[in-house]
Amino acid sequence: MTTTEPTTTEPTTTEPAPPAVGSDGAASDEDRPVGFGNLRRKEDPRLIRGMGNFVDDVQLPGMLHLAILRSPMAHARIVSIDKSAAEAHPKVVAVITGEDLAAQGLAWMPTLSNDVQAVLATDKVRFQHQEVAFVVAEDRYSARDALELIEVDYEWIDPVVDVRTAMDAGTPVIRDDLEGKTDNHIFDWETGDEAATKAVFDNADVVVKEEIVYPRVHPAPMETCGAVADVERVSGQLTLWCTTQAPHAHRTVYALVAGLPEHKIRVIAPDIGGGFGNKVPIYPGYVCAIVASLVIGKPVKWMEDRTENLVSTGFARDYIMEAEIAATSDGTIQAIRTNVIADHGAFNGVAAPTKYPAGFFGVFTGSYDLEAAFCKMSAIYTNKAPGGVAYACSFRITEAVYLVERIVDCLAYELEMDPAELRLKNFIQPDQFPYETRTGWVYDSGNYEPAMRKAMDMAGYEELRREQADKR
Amino acid sequence: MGIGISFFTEAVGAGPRKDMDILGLGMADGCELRIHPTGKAVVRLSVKTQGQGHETTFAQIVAEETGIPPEDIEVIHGDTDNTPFGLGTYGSRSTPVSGAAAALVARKVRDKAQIIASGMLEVSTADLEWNKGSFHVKGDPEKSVTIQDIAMKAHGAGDLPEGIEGGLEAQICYNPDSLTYPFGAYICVVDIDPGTAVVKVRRFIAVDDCGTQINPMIIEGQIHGGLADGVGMAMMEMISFDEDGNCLGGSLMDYLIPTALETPDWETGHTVTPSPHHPIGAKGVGESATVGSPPAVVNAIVDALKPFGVRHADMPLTPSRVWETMQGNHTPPI
Repeated sequence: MTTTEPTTTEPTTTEPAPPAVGSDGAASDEDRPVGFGNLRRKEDPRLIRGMGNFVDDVQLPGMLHLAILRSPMAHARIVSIDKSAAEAHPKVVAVITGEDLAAQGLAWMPTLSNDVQAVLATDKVRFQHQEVAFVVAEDRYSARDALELIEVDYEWIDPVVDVRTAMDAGTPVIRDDLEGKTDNHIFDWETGDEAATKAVFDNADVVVKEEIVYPRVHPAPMETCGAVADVERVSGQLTLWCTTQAPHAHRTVYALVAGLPEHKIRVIAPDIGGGFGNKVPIYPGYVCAIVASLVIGKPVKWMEDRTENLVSTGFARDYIMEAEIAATSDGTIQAIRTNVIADHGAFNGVAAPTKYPAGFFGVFTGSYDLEAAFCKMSAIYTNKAPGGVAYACSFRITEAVYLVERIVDCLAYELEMDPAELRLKNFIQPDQFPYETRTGWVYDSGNYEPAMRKAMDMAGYEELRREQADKR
Repeated sequence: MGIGISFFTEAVGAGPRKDMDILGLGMADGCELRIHPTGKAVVRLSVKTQGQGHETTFAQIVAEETGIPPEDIEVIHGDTDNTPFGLGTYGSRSTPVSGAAAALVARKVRDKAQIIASGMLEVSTADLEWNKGSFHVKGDPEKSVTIQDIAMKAHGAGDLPEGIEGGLEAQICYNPDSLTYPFGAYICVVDIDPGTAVVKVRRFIAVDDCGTQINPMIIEGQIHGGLADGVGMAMMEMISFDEDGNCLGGSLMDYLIPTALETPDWETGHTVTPSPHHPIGAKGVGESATVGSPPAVVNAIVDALKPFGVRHADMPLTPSRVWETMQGNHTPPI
């Protein structure tokens, strides 16, 4: 690597950086404001020099390494597991299966959505790459090598992959671990006024209907998930270094599940290389590391690789939204109605406030002054990794905004109206704030038109449309 | 060529404990501020940065309220043994909730400092004026004490005003009044090669309003990241499964995320509409660009395909999916 003179890159905004904002008095120099302003990040000197302290940097005396055996099948009964060859590996310290955990009442754990999730599968596996067993060894390579020595006998069950048909009669029931479960339904949810909305739609000049899909995506943070668990034998103190966005919440969950007082649990989230919601849930790997350290009496590290992160940790979206918009023929938007099928994967592991199982999806009414709105949603299990709320979704607001902005454009298409003009015509006006939407959300403040006009100005919107017209 | 618009309103900063909890834990957050004898400060947060820049922005919030330079303010977070209880960082809640807590706890400290200053300057607290970083006597600016002087006095020899204990610190648990609602106007310009159906994002203009801006440079960085997310989701990213339930997105060779080659120079701007109920008028912004950008990109691509009679097409709009759409064979991705 050659050393060159450091160069500064000017930010590519079309307006100059604002001066250091602050109340009068304190002598603020623009680069070192005492208060608000463009202060260079204090954490950057260590981070850009590779001197950060991430979970994988944690090295403790006697620390062992944990690797997880994952199911190759999406839906299968576990017939038997033979761990003898793995246990015989010279560098392996322990091999634990779901049966071992079940004996201690630790095979299942609560999710953030009041469902339960398997730490290690016991009866059957419910998504491809679900955790089946784990190995603790002296180094991470031996741990991985030993995974291949574990023999699992699976019995295929037809997987439920298409969420549109997951509720059809005769479809295998994924969550037969739940008492009385006879189908793959999780919950139904609705918001808004169904009757009022129907009345508006029935009388509208124009109704546009479109199925809008937000497929499953994944936050893919640069740093994958992991933990180092250190249970101190004598005091019973658990110290857990962990890639968590919510250390205190995790501590309380561990306290409830393990029956340990919170002052015996210390969760340390050091530098984290990107979260984006992927690092909110408690993953089986963390619990495995804690159990391993408890049982073995040494610190245990679990660090997943890129594939494990993509295939088993909190994904985002997976909403099929049938959207309808009702308007007058001159472009006044009157109502939005939507029917949503939500694919939550094999366990309901969504991180959303308790009273909001669909997060804040209710803001699908968007930035517009509507007469009515209604949403009906069904959340369904499938044989896929659990999750749904992640990737900066703001609790399902990505889905809601995508729905409204796409259907508004579909309306613009049908009305042959410019999409900017259609929006400007329907914005909530500044004097309407605080504004209560048709789904009960109270927007605190907003001044939409200046922001819209500014963007159009910066883009040179009229010119762009002229260029487009010329090209057609 | 296609031009796509997206105008979004977000709801962030969960949230009032009577409405919002996760597993029964109310979404209110604590904050603690302590000023040491030499005027250096430590602020302890309940939230946890994963790159958002909290070590800087929270020092700035405290600096704004106390006049202590951010370099002298240490931000402690992430260790449950050393930080107050709270629900963590996600849903763009750090600034709306913990940022409010930090501002309010700093004001609590400043209120105590004012009383100590009144003792030092031998006037009543009503006769003092705050000039970020120091109190002076109204009408007599020469008679002043800095926050650093006050910190030393709080720990030093000599009496303190009646009813005031030593030290200069405070703690708070902030329960937000309601959520905050940042918004933005985004415009995306794309060009599609009619022969290969490859979409090139020519330009992306993003105007965001997150209320009071604590650090415009950091905000811009957040926006840049979210806009890249949007291009990724709109055009490249999907975790898909085959009919046997095999996950087909298990590596970065299959799950494509954007690089500098797929993204344009971002053109950003802002307006400022403060939140009326937030102590510093700030709203969250971390997720705004990820929320607002996918529809802008998809709207642009669909707009480009208008001559083909296309009203809607689903993400991810990879070249092959765009091609199929152009031929009239659009299918949903699931």
